[in-house]
Amino acid sequence: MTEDIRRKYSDPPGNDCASETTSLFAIDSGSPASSVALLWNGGLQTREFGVGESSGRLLSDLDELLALAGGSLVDLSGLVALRGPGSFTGLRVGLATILGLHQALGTPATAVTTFEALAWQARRRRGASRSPIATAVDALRGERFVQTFDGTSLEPLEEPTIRSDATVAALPEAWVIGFGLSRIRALARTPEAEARLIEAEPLATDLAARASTPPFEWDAALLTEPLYLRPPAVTARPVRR
Amino acid sequence: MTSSDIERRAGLILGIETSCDDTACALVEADGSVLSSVVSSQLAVHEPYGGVVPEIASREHLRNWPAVLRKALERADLNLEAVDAVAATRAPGLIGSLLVGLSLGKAMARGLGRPFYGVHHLEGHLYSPFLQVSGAGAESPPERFVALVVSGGHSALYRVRRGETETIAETRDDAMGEVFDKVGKRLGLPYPQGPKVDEIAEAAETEVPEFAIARCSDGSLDFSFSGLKTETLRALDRVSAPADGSDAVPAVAGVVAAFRAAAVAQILDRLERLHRRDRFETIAVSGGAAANRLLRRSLPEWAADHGVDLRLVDLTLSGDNAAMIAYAASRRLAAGEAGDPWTVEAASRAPLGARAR
Repeated sequence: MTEDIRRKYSDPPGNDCASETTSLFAIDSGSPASSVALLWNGGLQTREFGVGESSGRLLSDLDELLALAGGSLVDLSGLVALRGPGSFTGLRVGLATILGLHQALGTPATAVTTFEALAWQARRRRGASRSPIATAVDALRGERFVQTFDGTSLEPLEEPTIRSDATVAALPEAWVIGFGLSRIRALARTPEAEARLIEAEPLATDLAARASTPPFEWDAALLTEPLYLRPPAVTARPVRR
Repeated sequence: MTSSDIERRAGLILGIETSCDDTACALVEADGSVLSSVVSSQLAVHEPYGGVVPEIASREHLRNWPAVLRKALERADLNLEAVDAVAATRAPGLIGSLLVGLSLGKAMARGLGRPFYGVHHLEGHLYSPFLQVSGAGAESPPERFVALVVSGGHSALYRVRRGETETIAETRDDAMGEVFDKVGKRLGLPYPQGPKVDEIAEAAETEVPEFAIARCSDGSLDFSFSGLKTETLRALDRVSAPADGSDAVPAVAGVVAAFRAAAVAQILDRLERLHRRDRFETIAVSGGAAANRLLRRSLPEWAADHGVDLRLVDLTLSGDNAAMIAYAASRRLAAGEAGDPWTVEAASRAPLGARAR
């Protein structure tokens, strides 16, 4: 699945404008619709790819986007990857790629949680709102990891928690954004609740928007600390010394 | 820019190895001099589970990488700008673990503007006996030699001719190191069990019972260790709880010693038959199971008896390490091979060279 999107970056409603000199490369290789984005002198270009394609795609996509923008790798002012939660392996491919580029170039780098990227996308697509934004990431087993943000400031209102699909589909007064929400649409108890479910789009654009909008803290240490939320499915066995 | 477009310069190679549970980084000169080789072991993390947990290994690789790289650079007293090429293991191994090292390696090479080489893990082992741990350059491998790689994941014989590798034999079931681990697991030993089984065998006073050496009925030189494993586990069950209440430890140690003797005898059997069939002058032995003490004592004797030049990997380089990955890449670089494209992918399974007829 490859879709070329080239369009002028437009400021998300209510967001501070990204600086004209900001140049960022963003990777989301951990969500169901993986993507990369290059923000270069106010212009944004993205590439999308399927699950499992990221390892072979990321650097060639970066080069292609740089060539289209007339940019160069050494002039990038920031690198950002999705921190999770999401596909464990996919997240690590993106984080390791950004970490490797950061170590080689010395360019500031960081990772942004899936929750925060989804919140930024919700505000970009629906505008600032008095209603909170509940970001939901599929936790399998009929559950979602959920973190709620203020609909205007995008400040988190809670720590991530795990909730059933039925609870997420019926959250009162909140915009709910996430991947695969069509699967829980039938669980919404009212037409209003159903209308507040927003199917997420590729997140690299929103990672770039978040990282290019002050105040923002660059922290490369986050690249080695993906947000997994679940431990590996394994139990310790007794051993004899 | 693609990796293969980048001008090749023979020089310093940064190697990365993350195919299983060791996070490793090394800096190796074009002549094979190992300037630094750092291996961060995950043994303590996996020990509670009795073996390597792939998801945990992948998580640890990413977490450990910055410190491992920093230490490798510090020991070599170099910075990244000095690196002329980057190499990482691309196959075979645990896919999640491979992807961490491969992604790091490709991105570092792209960021530095240097070529990238994706290296077959077994190619790394295969040439590792020629590396020197003294800091001197590697010995030049002869144009033709036989290579034996024995580890927890592999047991194979290769024929190398002018850099081309052909598989002579591989295991049809378990790898040699794998059966040592499984026997150790049955004894309730903590991970990694193989070296502890070797220790128990070393201390045994008897070797009872005598196990048969497995051979393939089609005359192939392929290895097979699962029958030996089953027989050993049965023998352990028989002696573990003596009906007369006597101490089981000596008998258990005797079974373990007999098991080790049979495993090593199978290795020597294959070398003997190969040498009889197609005489060779040099054998290079590598891999984690090449640290087995009985094997290390037996191989020089066998080689001396047959007039074969034995290159036995140094103990510090027998396990997984990044120096061997960097050295394998430096050989490709010296041969004028272009770097791999950025699109090079990891693979959990990948043959090394064609199967010999």
